[in-house]
Amino acid sequence: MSEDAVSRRDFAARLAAATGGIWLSRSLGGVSWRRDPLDARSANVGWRVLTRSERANVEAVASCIMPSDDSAGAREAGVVRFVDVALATWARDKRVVIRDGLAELDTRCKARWGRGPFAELADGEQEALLHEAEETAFFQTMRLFTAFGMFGDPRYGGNAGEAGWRLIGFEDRHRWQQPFGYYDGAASEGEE
Amino acid sequence: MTRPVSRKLFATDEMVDFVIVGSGAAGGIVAKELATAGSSVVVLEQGPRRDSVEFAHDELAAFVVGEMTNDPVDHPLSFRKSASEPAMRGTAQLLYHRLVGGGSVMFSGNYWRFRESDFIERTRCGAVPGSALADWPISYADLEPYYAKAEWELGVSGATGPFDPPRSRDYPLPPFPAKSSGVLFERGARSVGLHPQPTPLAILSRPYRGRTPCQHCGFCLNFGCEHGAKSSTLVTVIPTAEATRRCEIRSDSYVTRVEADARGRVSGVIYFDRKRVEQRQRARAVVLCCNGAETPRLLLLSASPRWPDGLANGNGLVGKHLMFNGLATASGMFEHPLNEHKGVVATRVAYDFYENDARRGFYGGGALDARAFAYPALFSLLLLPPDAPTWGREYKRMLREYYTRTMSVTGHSTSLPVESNSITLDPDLRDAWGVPAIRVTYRDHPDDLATMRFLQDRAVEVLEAAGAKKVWRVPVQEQTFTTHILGTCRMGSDARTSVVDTDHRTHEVSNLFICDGSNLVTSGRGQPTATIQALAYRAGERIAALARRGEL
Repeated sequence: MSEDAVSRRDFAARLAAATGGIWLSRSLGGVSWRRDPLDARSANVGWRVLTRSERANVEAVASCIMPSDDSAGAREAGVVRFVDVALATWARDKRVVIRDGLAELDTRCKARWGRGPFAELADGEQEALLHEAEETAFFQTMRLFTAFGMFGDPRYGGNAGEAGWRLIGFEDRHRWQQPFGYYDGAASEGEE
Repeated sequence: MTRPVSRKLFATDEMVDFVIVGSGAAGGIVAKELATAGSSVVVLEQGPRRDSVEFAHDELAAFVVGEMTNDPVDHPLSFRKSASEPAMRGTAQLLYHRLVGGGSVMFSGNYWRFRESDFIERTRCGAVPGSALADWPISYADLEPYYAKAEWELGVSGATGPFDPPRSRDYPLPPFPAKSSGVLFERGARSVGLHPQPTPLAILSRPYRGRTPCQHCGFCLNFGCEHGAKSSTLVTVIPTAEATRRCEIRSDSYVTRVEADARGRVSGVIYFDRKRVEQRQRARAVVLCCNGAETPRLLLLSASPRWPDGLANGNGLVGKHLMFNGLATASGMFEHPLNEHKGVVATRVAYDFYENDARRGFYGGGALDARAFAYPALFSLLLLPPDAPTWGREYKRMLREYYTRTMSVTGHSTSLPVESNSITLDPDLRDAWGVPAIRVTYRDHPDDLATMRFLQDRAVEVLEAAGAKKVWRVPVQEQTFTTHILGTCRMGSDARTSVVDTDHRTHEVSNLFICDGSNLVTSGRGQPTATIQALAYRAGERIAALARRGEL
């Protein structure tokens, strides 16, 4: 891994280790991301920023980051809808880096295999190109978008049907009762 | 649902007894003490006012869009490790929250008293080379009644343990039961000879004074409590202050200057209102409760021909001795789900390493607690082990395995006061209002790093002893991020070496007071909110007494 990747990851990990808080935009260029009131869950909301071909490629990138298998991935969670809403509202400053990144992927497809677009490459080919793109602001932004598109509040357009939350075992509730997990359950039953 | 708006009581050209700048952990308490003592008070809060029911479990709003926190465009800051390098934007973060109630709305609720030794470390440990370690001008015994007052008035849950300092009163509320991380921590800590106990928390474990207890939703740290169970100033002393009809909380009011008259006394403050129009609020006295970064910044912004280096800064110490607290974490994954996304942040703590121990070869001490940072989107992005892939099939598999099975043991420790660690004004960078931005100069003292590494090693031992299947850590490095901003207007009896006296009055300006994290002489071992709030209760009482005697 290059110096930049290590330092960026260490930096992010250091932020995480300081469990007082995490400031993600700091590690992605410090852009102000304004939030507009929105609720993007309606199926009647049309696409706002991404063209058809951009949507296919964005979904393909997100599906490499969080693949679909016997369980939901970025595709089922609607990460591409999340990205479209984000680029229309609170992350409009990221349109350039996303579009530039998609264009670069397109260039590399053609240069390496003489065909494209990215969305139509085989899985292994897509992954090979993304390994090369790991250090870029484009890929790091897509990681951020995929994380919040999978596991953020569905009102932002992703995590469709809470598929992301169910994937990892999170549920959003206002109230829980103990036992919360196995070990406080075992304790309350008198084991150990 | 309508948003509550503070009813305006005072016209801006009306002279009030006190302007308090900042409505957070300290400002809310000082406002309540002064208003109930009979003074007229206007609290100017930079951020908006939110009601408990508005607080949502929204990671994007909290961490990315940065509502109510330091938006890097509106509120940029610059960072450098020392004055010999240029300060850069985007390399560090001071995290604090701009809203009525401030950090007391958003903090984890962890609530640790200082110990007797914290107040006399210079005497006990001697000078530490490369630091300005000093004794406090007050003792634990002086502050103890106010710790008790804070715990009972605000609502703090806990139980005494083997290392506790003397207490005049027990906790008003019983401790939270251990959640899975606490159970595992107890198991591991005991087996390596430590003495874990329940964590003190400014969160209600039972109904208290008409407030709803904790419902274990899991969204404490960096989120407001939708139930009002976290004992923030927003749901405790601020309503009490307002009920006197002598206190107005004026939100969306960004103070940029404290004005002083020809006699060298403060006369009021200048602030931007919600529409970014400048206003002046006149006052007979001013109390700064902004936090350890914004308070020195405001004094520096208030420079004048009489105070060329900043208001009340004749000795040049405003902004200096910035301390962060140390923080070092180890994490572990266990066989069965813990589900740390439920419940309060931390339920068990071990204070065995609190005291300084010269045999270690370095100054410092701290505590270990069992906690987890389990917000789903952030976990997926940042909290798998450092050697895990960050995307792809194996990443997804690990995420599904680790998310519910992971916990951390975190060491919280000391920061030495170092004069070159400071808050100053950036000469070039300005915020969205055109006001000079904060420049942070900070480098951990080598003893602080040694203490963090020591505690991280102990944390690994505890996790291994608890039976973790896998344990990992991120190596301790010089810190560039904090939520604990301390020491920058230190308290002291000697006007040459401190900024405020034991009444929190600035040495140089008789009607200007400071009460917040900037007053701390030593950093303590972490979780400074309890000490800041005890100081605020004491300061409120003493300032009210000065006002009553006409000595302002």
